Amino acid sequence: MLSFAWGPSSKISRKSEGESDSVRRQITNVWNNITGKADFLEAQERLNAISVKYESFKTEYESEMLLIAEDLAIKVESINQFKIDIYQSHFESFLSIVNRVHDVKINGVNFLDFFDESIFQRKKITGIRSDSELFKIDFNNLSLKEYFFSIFTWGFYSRKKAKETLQEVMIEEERINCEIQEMTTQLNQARVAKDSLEMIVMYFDRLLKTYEALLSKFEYGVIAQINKAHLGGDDLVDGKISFKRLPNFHLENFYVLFNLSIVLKEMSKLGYLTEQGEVIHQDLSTLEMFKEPLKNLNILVA
Amino acid sequence: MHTLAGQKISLDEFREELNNTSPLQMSKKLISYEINDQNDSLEVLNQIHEQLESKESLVDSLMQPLLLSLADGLVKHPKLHGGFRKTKITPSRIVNEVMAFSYTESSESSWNDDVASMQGEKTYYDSNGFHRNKFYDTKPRSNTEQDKGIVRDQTVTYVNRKGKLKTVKTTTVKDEITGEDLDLTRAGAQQKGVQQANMDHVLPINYLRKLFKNNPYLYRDDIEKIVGLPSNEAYISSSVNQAKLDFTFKEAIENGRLAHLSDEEKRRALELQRQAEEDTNKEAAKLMAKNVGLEVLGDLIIHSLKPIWFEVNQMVTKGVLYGFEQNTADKIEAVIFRVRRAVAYIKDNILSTLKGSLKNIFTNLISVLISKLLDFVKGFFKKILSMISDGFFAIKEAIKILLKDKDANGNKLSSLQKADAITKLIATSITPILIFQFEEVLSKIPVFGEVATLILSGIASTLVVWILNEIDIFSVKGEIRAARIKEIFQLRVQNIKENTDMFASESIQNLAHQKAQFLSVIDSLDESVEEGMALNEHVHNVANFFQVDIQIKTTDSFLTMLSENKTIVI
Repeated sequence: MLSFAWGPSSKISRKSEGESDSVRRQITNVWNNITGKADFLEAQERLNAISVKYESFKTEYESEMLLIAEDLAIKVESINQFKIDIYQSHFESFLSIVNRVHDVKINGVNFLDFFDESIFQRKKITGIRSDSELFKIDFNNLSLKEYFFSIFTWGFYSRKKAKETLQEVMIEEERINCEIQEMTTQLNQARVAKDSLEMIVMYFDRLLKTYEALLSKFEYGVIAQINKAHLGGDDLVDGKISFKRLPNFHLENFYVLFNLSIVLKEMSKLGYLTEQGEVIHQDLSTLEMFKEPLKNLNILVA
Repeated sequence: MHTLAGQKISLDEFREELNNTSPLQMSKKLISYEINDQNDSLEVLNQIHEQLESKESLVDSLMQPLLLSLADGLVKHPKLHGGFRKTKITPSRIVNEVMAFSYTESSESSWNDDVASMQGEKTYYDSNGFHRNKFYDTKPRSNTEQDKGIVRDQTVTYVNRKGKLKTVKTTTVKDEITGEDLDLTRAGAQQKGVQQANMDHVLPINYLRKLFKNNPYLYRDDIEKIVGLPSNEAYISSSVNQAKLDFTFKEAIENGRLAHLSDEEKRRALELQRQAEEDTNKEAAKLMAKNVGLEVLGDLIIHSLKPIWFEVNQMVTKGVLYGFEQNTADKIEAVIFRVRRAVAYIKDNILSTLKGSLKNIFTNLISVLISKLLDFVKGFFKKILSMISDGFFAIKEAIKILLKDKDANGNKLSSLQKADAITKLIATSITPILIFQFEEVLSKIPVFGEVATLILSGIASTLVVWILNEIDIFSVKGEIRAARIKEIFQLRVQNIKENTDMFASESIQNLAHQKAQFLSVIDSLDESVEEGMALNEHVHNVANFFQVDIQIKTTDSFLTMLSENKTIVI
């Protein structure tokens, strides 16, 4: 439409310009095929595409990983807090109550977990390699030697190098796909880790609530018996009331608290993030630790 | 390759592993679980490269097949065929001996060590049947008659057993012992009232077989020739023949089987035997000499091939300069060093052991071979480009063959088949260009020349394939490598993905199951605490759930412990 205004001569010149363009394009295409530049251009295109895919996935991965890591850090913090509470508050309360009935000691120390995000990154994510590693020839930056080689060998040299570049990039595509899958795997594992730590938090939480409830019942029972003894004018040996005077129900409380203390102590001694020693071995050593003090005590008494 | 692609985790095993993990160990187990191996993808890539580098060398995998096809060509060569078959030199034995060769280690040939096993074919014999007729008594009677100048010039008409009228050509022959007239046919003999003539092997077949059974230098077909010696064939009357059986005349006379013969007749019989023995010994000596010669020739060819192939193989697999780094940096010079080393070995170890005319022939052959080989190698490097253009079609076809897995009929191609196809292809297209210049010289030496041409074609084919692989003009190696790496990574991604899916779903399921279990246990404990009901069972359930061992199982034993211990320790 607009061309009309320029008159017929310009129309012709435009037309011939268009023709020479298409001719030039065709020549360029042929030239690119001979020299292998077509392969090189494809390599560049593919590399761009995989870079975009990789970067967008990596952003996604990093933001979710950050969320999970924050969540995990909080969970580990609460588990550590539970472990501290167990020794500093729950066991203290239990001992202060139970020692009015019988001498009880709790040995051992708790183990605190240390959270480090890197526990999921066992595999190095390397990202896309540099152009200089992937490109066997760079058509945008041909050296004099490469230029002459290409002409001298009728394009054999550059064609071969361009093909190698394309192959290298195609390999890189697969490798990056593999890295993306590995990141996906890490995310999945981190999610599962979150779920499993959530369970540990729940175990502590529920057990401690039960422990506290039992403790208050037991405390009530012990105090009631002490009061009863005082009222009856009975002497207490070392300020202790004989467990034999406790009613069955409170004796059972004592027994259950004793066992729950063992369970809680075991739980405080364990780490929940990293494997330390063999599972079976640990269970066995737990058993041994219980047997030892009991044996010694038997000997002492005997 | 499979380990690089990662391992698939078994669902059952993973499930069992989780079921055997206490709830308190669960988080650790899941966090530290290796869903895939620890290698990062760059490491994997490098490892794949390493593996491919060591495996992909087409030449490495082709060297042995090429040598085998060369050896096969030697052994089956029409002009050498009979000779090599007899000397027990098989293609695979040539390959083994040649491949095992090195200059430092002694490389004595073991061809002649156990000749006994070669003699097996002379061991089996059934005197009336298969072996006798097939392998020993093979000379047609008409030939015998011809040898003795007998012409069947009479025609006899007779009635056969079925009552039919028949005619047969026959003639009268003289009994070589008694001198009486005999007729060649039963009918003729009946009509003439004489005895029928039998063609007798003076030295019986089985006697000759036993005589030469353990002679390593006489083969079964040599005995076949001795059996048919003219002096070992005599016409005697059927009655004497039937009395003689598988004995010699001497034996038959001694054991009284020929007692009815006169002294004069006995003398003539013994004379026949003497003549046959004399000729047999002469012929056997001739045949043995020929056979020994063949073995020596075979040994010589193998011995000479050893150092030559050693050099070719080392150039191709380890590089031309390997072992000569200190002497030179020039590849062509290194090739010359190599050829000189091979020649020196051949001179010291092979030519020095030869005597007489054989030495002359062989010395000539080797010097022609070596000088031409030198020209060839020098020209080879110079002519690479023209070779590639001249043999362009062949090279393209060769690469196609290398890349092919299956032939036109869908059968899998072994590397040997590929090598064979390539050798034939190159032998018919490129190699002629290279070797025609000295083929002319070689063809003047019968047999040896053909052997040399064969060896050279084999070596030339090997070098051509090696060069093709080295220059990798169509980036074929890269293509194959890229395809394999792609395959491995795709498999790896798939494995990791499947493992991850399985891991996630199984873990979540297991955690959910544990959660339900725990809640049921702890809820009932709480409820009992609340309601003031019996607690023992519930606390045991809790301890069991966490897999914590409770030593004191009952309230009673707890009370006993309390009363027995002033202090209790948790």
